[in-house]
Amino acid sequence: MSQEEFETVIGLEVHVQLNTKTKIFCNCSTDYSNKPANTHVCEVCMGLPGVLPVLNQNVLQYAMKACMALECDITKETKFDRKHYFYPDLPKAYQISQFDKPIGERGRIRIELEDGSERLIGVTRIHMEEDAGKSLHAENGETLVDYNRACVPLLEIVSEPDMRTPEEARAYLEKLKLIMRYIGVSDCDMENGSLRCDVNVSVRPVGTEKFGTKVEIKNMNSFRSVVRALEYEKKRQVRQIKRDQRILQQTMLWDDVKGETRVMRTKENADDYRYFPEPDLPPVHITQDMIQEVSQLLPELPDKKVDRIIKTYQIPAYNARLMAEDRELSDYFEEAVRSHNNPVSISNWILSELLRELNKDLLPIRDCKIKASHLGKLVYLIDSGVISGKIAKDVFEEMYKEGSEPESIVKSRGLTQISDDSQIQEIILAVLTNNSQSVHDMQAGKMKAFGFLVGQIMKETRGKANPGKVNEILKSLLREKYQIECP
Amino acid sequence: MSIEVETVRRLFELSKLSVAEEEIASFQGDLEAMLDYAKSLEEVNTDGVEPTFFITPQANVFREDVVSPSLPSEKVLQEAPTKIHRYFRLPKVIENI
Repeated sequence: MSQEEFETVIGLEVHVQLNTKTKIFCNCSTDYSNKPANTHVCEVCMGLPGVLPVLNQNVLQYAMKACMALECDITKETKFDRKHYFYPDLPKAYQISQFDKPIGERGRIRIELEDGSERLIGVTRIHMEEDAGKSLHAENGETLVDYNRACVPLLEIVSEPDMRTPEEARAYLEKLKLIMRYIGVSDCDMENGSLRCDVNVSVRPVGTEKFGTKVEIKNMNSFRSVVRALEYEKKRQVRQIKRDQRILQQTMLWDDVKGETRVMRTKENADDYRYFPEPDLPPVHITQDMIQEVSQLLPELPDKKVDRIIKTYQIPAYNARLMAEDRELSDYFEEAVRSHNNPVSISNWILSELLRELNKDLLPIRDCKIKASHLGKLVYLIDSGVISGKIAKDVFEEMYKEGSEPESIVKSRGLTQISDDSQIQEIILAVLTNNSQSVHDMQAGKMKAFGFLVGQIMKETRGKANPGKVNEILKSLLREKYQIECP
Repeated sequence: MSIEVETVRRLFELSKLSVAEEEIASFQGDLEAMLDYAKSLEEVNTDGVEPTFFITPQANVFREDVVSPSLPSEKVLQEAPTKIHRYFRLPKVIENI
């Protein structure tokens, strides 16, 4: 059997760091990045004896938002549990997590694939927990521990083993990140660790139902490395099977430099975390009122937004999706369309010119100097023939730099398009007289000179002549005066 | 109620405690006695009784998401046996990374 005769079965466990101001059970700031070690730490997050953790109400609210956005059932009677294991970055030797009553269960995420098809990926559960500290492994073999990150709130989001290709896993991660950003609970940046992802992967012959033995992979630090690790692991597992070798249930580490996975530990006996209810944290009863209140904080979610934008504005799905990748950008689009109803053209301006400039300057749309209504007006000036598309790009440039209104730029710089036939004719006649060589060339059949003449006319008018009219009038003058037939 | 020697070893392993081979039998006896004591609860009829996870009637105890100062790092590190540049310093904890 070849590689193609096997399919991968992939499930993802994602940890999303919540962007609350304080930690999950104490008042320490979560703003620990680039801060000196052990400066965002108190008795509670250090797990000193006699302290009492108290749940941050925003953690609960953010978790509920995430559950709603991923269409999970919210557990009405939820609680925390202790998960025990020993590791130096875990100060209490247990992690406060949720075991049998996670805040959310049975959700789903819609993913779109390159070929335009869609799939629903199940979300098994979402639970709240605290992050661990960070260990640095020094070259001399010592371990240095910083507890600034300990007790920072996390959501663990576990998917069903519903993905069948690395591409689907990537689409799932991208959609999850988009949704979390829309609801404002996390920036989900894998590079800085606010999104972490472990994968479970097994292979099986296409068409069979039974799952193969799964391997867990850790240590990927970008979506790209998740895809690479999955591709590598699929090949490795298929190779093993073809050699009649058993797949061992193992935890593997991804080495991004070498581009391979290697064994971290073999799971001989199942982990034994000895969970029990966290006695220091009273249970949480989620009432209908609380659900009502949180649901009012939810924005329109990306899937709904894309569907609505396509339907309302009749623009290509590609444009709609691209704009909806940034909630504020799609709001900007809608505002621009309110000032001038040409959604297709406005979306094209946003996705080409505007995004190019913003990306170049690393600016978010909210810091863009061009007001949405001004972009709408710019497109209006093109549509009504006041300026040409080419001039519009110059106007756009000035709008982007100065934030000024398009009409006032057109007026002050005298950029109004010349559409008056007699005026254009006059300019063309002058250009023909001054470029008699080109006319001769054309008479000799060298039609390339036509383009040169158009260029001269545009130069003469500083690009303001209506290009359609220039073409039309130039052709008819060449025919009348020189008997030259242009195609 | 009997408990296997292997189970005793596993409990020590999970607790990251070391135990001398000759002590195992005595721990085994202690653990068996504890289990027997707890077993007396099985005599109580608990049909239709909801499990008790918490012994106080409290629920929904929250804090506002407002930052207050953390401990000074000298205090945090005060009891650390060894430290370096504000880090807790430990012996090597994992192989092969």
